[in-house]
Amino acid sequence: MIVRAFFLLNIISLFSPQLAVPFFYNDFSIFQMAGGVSGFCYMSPDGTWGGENLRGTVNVRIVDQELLGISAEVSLEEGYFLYDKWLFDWKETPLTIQMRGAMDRHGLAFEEGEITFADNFRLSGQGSADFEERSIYLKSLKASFADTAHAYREFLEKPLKTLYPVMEKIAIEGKLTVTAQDFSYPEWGGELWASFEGAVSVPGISLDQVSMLVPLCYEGPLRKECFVRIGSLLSDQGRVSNLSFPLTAESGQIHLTKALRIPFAGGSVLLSSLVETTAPFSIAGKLSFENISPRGLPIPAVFASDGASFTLTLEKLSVEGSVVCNVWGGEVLIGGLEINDPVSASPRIKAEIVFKEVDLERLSEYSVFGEVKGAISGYIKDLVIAYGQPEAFELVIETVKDKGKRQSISLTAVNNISILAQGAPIMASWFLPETFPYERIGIKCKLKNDLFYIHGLINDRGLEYLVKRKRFGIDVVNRSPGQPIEFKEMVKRLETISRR
Amino acid sequence: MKRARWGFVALVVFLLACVTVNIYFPVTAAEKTAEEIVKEVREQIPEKEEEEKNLPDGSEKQSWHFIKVAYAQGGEALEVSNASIRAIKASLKDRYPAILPYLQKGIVGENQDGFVEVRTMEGLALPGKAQVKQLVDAENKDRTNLYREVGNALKIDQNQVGRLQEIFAKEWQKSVPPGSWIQADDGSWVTR
Repeated sequence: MIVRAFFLLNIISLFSPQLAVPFFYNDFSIFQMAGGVSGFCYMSPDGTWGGENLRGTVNVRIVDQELLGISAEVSLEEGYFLYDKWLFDWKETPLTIQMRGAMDRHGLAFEEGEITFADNFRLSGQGSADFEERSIYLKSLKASFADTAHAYREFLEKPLKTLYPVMEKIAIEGKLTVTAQDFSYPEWGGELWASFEGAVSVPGISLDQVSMLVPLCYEGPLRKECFVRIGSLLSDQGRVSNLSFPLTAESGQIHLTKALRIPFAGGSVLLSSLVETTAPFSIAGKLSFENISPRGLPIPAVFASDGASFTLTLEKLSVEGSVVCNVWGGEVLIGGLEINDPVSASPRIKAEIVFKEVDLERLSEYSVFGEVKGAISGYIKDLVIAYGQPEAFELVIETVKDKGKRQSISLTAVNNISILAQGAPIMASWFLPETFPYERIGIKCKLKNDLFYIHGLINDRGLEYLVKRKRFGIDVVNRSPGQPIEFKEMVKRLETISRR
Repeated sequence: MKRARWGFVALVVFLLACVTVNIYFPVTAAEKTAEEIVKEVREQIPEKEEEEKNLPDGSEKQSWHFIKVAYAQGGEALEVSNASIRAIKASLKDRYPAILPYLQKGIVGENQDGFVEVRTMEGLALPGKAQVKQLVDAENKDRTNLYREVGNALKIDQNQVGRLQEIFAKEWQKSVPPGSWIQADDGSWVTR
């Protein structure tokens, strides 16, 4: 009895002296309180959570039986609530809670519970919470968001935009309903389903007439059908209409029931073997491309892939297999693609690229580098792109002899290679012809820790050549092989080239 | 025979115990890097400008072979940087004006591990508390990434990143405005 009395006193002590409401109790066996609160503040001793300037009404009745029987109606119309870094303003979305259940120091069981946020969000259900295990069990639950845009703005964007600025760039509109049956957390079990009708937009892509029914958790052994349908997908690559993903859920996984061909960027993408696993989250599948020629690329490239397997988790997107890009009469193979922290603000992209017999004449038409004729092969090894900028790579470019192609280089291009490698153009070039033949061009460039290292690949009589002339012409010799060039300096050199 | 075997085992144990593991830690480079990065972030100075370097003399006659040595190549570059470090520095720099008032008011302090820490929430309304928590969280996430990246760039073993953090901590503490809270080596908090 004493313990229970303490427990009740603890509950009473939650309320500050500002709470001027009538409450009475009868030998601590019944506690009842009804009235209004205004300016009510509370902060947990560890500062993790609390409320401030709360205004609303409380009607609580606690009956001391074997367990404490609780019947409560609480409404909050004003004030703030803080949980860790998540701040919520009740004025924007007033809250009403109605609950009937039983409680002891180990947990809370609610027979009926309903939470309403304005006219927007309604949550009702039955279940229990275990304070010691820090777990919840929902026998049944239905959460309805009548206005998802408002809910997204108030519950996610406003409270967390300082921490995750990307939230301001996402928009969701429509109706969302989440239902649960025998659902447990954090030990995932039972069923938790989401159905949504509306529109979603993220930077670069907007999805309209989205309709979906998918399990957020489904551990049942029976196969259940679910779906995602998108009326219109608009991106900078154009519009794709009437996309339908037929899915089945079974034992914690969602499967795409049949391969899906999506018209995209002038070609098509074939998505197959798609499997989503709930806990821990992952999506795996296979993608094949045909004739993809993305708009907006500065180069006329066509992409294809014969089936690259991918796995996406919250930590990493990894792709096995390669994507082939046909460009300037040659072939570029992109493999070993990996994106670390794909959902963060700073994903780190890794790839290995090999290029074969790319026509230099056509390439030079697309750059300010100057005309070069011939063909090149080479590779980019250990490419890392972080925060949208190259962080590390090893690039090797070497001309290859192609019977049908003449090998020549313009004076402009020679000067630009000089600027890139040495910081300055060649001097005294006024008497040189505009174009001359070359024997070979071979350049190796490495970037690490914001330092570039440039080497010529042609070694002759102790010299390192970047460009080796034929009988007549000009050699470009690297006189300081291995010397680092700072990133900023390289940017300057590129700017110098683009201004010429 | 048995004694000889035990003797052998003892010898092996003794020899193993004598192995010295030398872990590479470039103290000077780490200190210089910390000093430069903190200075750039905290003093709100623009990224270290390249010294004015004149292009090579255009009147100089060259032979067929190009003989100019690029002007950026004189001397080893000491700056530790890469795309991630540059982006993190920019993010820390952008956030500093928002954190500064809380440092000045003693709400946030610089601890001995190279992170900012909430000292007190007194006098702050709940929205202010949320903002401090979010700022501190975002700042420390950036700093964690910064130490990892600088550690990688300096080839410091991940187990030694703690030492790097301590070096950075000294620089962050030097950079705070007078009256701000800093954590001393013994763990106590003092005002600067």
